Amino acid sequence: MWKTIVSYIPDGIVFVQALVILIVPIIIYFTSKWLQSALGTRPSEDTPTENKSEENTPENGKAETEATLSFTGKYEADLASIKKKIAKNCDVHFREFTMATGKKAAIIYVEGLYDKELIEVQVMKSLMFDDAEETEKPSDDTKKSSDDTKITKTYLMNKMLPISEIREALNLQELISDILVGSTAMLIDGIVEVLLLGSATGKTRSIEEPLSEGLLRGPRVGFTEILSDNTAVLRRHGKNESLEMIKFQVGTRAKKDLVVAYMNDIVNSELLEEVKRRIEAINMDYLPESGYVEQLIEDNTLSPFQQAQNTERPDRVINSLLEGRVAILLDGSPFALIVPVTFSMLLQSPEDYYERWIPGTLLRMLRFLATFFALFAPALYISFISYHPGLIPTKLVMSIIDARQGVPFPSLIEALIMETSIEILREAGVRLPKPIGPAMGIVGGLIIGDAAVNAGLVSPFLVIVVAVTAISSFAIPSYSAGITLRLLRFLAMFSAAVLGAYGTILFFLLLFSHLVKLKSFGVPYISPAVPYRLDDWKDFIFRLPFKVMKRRPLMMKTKDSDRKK
Amino acid sequence: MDSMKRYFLFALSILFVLCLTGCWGNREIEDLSVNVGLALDVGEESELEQELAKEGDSYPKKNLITATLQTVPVLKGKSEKQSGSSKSSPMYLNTEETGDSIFQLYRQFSLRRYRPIIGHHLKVIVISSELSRKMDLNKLLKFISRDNDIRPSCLILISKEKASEALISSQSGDIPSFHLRSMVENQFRNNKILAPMILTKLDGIMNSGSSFILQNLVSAKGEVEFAGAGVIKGKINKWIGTLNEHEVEGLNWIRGEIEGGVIKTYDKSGEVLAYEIKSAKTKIKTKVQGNDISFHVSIESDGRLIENWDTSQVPTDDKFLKEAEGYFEEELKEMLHKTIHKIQEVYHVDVGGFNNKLRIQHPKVWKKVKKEWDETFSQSDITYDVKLNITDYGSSTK
Repeated sequence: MWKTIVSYIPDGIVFVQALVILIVPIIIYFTSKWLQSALGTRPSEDTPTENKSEENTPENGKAETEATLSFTGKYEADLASIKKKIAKNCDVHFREFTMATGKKAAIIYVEGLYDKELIEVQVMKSLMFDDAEETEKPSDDTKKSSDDTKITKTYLMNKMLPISEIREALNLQELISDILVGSTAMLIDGIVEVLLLGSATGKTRSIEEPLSEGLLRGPRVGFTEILSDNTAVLRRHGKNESLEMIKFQVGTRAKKDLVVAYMNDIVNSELLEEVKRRIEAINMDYLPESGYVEQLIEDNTLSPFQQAQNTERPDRVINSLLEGRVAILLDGSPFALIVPVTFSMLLQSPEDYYERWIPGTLLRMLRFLATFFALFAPALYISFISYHPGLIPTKLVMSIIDARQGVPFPSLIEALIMETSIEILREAGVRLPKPIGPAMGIVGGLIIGDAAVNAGLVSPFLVIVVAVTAISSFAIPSYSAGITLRLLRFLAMFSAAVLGAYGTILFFLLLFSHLVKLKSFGVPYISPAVPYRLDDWKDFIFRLPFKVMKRRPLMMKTKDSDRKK
Repeated sequence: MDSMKRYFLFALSILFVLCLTGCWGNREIEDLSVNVGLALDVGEESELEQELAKEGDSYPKKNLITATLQTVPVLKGKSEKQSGSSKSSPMYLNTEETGDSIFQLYRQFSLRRYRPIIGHHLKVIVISSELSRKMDLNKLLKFISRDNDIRPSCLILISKEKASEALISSQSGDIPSFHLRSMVENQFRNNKILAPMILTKLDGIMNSGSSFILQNLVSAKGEVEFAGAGVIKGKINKWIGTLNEHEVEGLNWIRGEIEGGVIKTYDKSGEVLAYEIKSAKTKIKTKVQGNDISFHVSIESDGRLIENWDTSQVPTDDKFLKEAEGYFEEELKEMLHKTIHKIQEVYHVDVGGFNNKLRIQHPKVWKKVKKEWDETFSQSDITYDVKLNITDYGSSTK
C-alpha cells in the first residue's frame, strides 16, 4: 500500500520544476511592479519637491514682488520698468509716438508676431490723426474730461480703438509674458492700465489634408499647429451646444495652451475628471508635441502599446467625442489625442464608416488579418522552417529545401538579416526627401532582396515573407500602432526561434495576457472582446449597418447611450 | 545615480538573457530529407549491401525485411540546375536496407545519408504480396502506426511483384510516391480503384479482426498500374490472394463506393456498348431467420449511354434504350455473381462490408456470429437486384 503511494510521488526534479514555475511568474510580477513604480510614479512624486526647492527660491521672491507691482500711470517710469525686463531681446520693439492730443504713448511688440496691419491702421492711425475729430465729436458730458485732455481707459476702448480683441494687463509679469507671446502692448501717459491689443498672428500653415492618415473618401481637412484653428475646425462640425472645450496651461517653464474637448451630455464625468486630473498633474518644463502629453498621462509606461490615439483628422476626433471619448489638443501640435483608446480603434479607419457597411467590414477584417501577418509572419516562417517541416505541404517542403540549399544561416539569422534591413530601409525612407523616398524603397526592396537571394544570403521564400510582412504593416492605419507591431515582431521571431510554433503561441498568450490587463483611462484595451460585450461587437471586427448601431459603445459608460436622440 | 546603475544592470541582464536564447533543439529544413515512400519486401540484401557487409557493416539481425525508403529532394549542383530538366536524373533517392525491426532500418539510414529523414510527409507504403503472405501485417505496420511523425493519412498498397519496383519511375520529373498517392484520387473516373486505405482506417480494421482488401499494384518497365486488389484475411492478417480488376469493380458496386466509371458490355451482335455511371446507390438488407443470415443487395444507378458501335440503332428510340439497359444490367449481375462467388467460395472472406450492415441492422445477431464471421458469411445467401437507368445519350443522337 505504502509502496504504491510512494511510486506515484514524482522525483525531485519535478518538484524543482514546479517550484520554478511558481517562482518565475512571481519574480516577473514583482520586477514589473518595481519597474512600474520606478518609472511611473517618478515624475509625479519626485520632481515637484525637487523643483520647488531648487528653482522656486530665486524666482519666487522676485515673482512675488513683481506680481504685486502694478503700473504707476507715469509714462516714463512704466516704460523704463518694461524696458528693463525685455529690452534686451532683439525682436522686441518699442515705438514711441505722440498722440494727437499731445500725450506720449508707446507701442511694444514682438517682431513677426504682432498684427501689423491692425496696429498700424486701426490703432496708430486713430490715435495720431483721427483724435482731433474724435475728441470733438463726443457729447457734452464728456467734454469736461476732454477739456482736461484726459483720456480714460474706457474712453479709449469705447471710442478710439475700433478693434475687438483688447484686454488690460494688471501687472508687469503678465504684461511681459503676453507681449512675448505676440500681443501688442500700448502704454499711454496718464493711464494706469496698459492695454494689450490683438493677438499673435505669426506665420501659419494652411489647412491641408493630413499626411499620416490619407483617405480616399472623407473630408480633406487636417489639424494644423495653431490651437485656435484646430478648435475652430472642431466647432465647425455642426451646430452643437454640447461640445465643450476647456483650456489648461501646461509646461512649467514655457507655458502652452492645452484644450480638452468633450460632449458634456455624453461623456462619462468620471472619465472627464480623470483626464483633467492627469493633465493637471503634468509636470514638465516644456511640451513640444502632444506625444509628450500622451506619455505623461498614460496608464502603463512599460507597455509597448500606445494608450492614447493620435490623429490629425478632425472627423475622427468628432466621431470619438460622439462615442463619449475625450480629445486633447495641444497648441503647436497637429496631432490631437483621443482617450481612452481600445486596440480595435487603432485598426479602424474613418473610411469604414463612410463606405457602405459590407465593404467596410471587409476592409476591417483585412486589417485584422494584416495585423496578424505583420506580427507573426516571420515568426511562423522560422518555426515552420526550423521546427515543423511536417506542417508544410509536401511539395512546398521539397521546393523550400531546394531553395534553401545554399543558405548558410539558420532561419532566425536569415530572417533577422532581411527584417532588419527592411526596417532600416523604412526608417531611411522617412528621412529622405520626398522625390528620393520611393526610389529608395524600390532600390532597397527589389534590388537588395534580389541580390541577397542571388548571393545565397537568404532564400526566396523569406523575401516573400518579408515583403508580405512589410506590406501588411503598411495596411495598419495608425503609424504608432505600426511601430509597436514592428517591435513585437522581433520578439515573436525570437520566441519562434527558441521553441518553434509552441514558442510563438506562448508569445501570443503572453502578449494577450498583457493586453487583457492593460487599460486606457479605465477602459480595458481590447474591449469589447474582453470584457465580453456583445453589443459593442457591432462595431469591432464587423461594421454593421447604422440602423443596427443605435447605441453608443457600452464600454464608454456614457450619460446618453442612445445615438438617435 | 545609484538607480541609474540599477536600471543599466537590469537592461544588461535582459540583453544577456536574450543572447542566451540561441537556437537550440531546432533542425533547419534544408538539413533534412523528406521520406515520401516506403516499400517493404521480403528480406534480401542488395548487391550494395552485401558489399558493404563484406567491408564490415554488420550488426545482429535477421534478414526478414528489405525496406526501400524513398526520399526527396535530390540535391543538384548549380550547373545542373541551370541546364534544366533536359537531363533525366531522377528526382528521388531510393535507399535499401535489410534487417528485421523496421524502426532500426529507419535509423540505419542515418549511417548512410547525412541528412536525417523526417516521416511527416510519408505518402505511400507499398507491401509486396510475398512479404504479406509470410508475415502478419500487424507486425509490419506496428512502427508505422505508432510513430508520432508519420501521418495517419498515409496510403497502404499491395504489390504483386517486388514492392521496391513500384517506387521506381521511368518518367523523369515524376516522384513515384506522389504519383501513387494522386492516382487514388481518380476514383471518380474509374470504378476499378478502391477507396484509399489509409493508415488509421487500416489500424481500426486490423484491430477488429475483419478481413479487408488493399489496392494491388503491378509494374513493368518502370510503369506502375493499379490492378485488382490483394485480399487480407482478418484472423491471420496475411495475404491470401488477389481479386482481379473485374471483381474489384463488382466489390465497389456492392460496397456502394462507385463515384463514376464505366460498364461495358456487348450486344447480341457483338458490338460494344458502354454506360457512363453518373450516380450509383447500393442498399444492403439483412435478413435473419433462425441461424440463417441472408443479404439482399439492391443497386440503382443513373447513367448515360455513351458508346454504341451498332450504328443502325438510334438512341432516341425508347425500345433500344430499354434493351441497352437490359444488357448493362445483365453485365452488372454477372459481375456481382462472379465477385460474390470469389469471396464466398474461393477466399471465404467478407470484404464487401456485409459485416457492418449486419452489425447495424441486427446487433444482437452480430454479437453471436462475429467471432467466426468469415465462415458464417461464406455460408450465407446473397441475392441481388439491379436497376440501371439510362437518362440520356450525351450531345449526339447518332
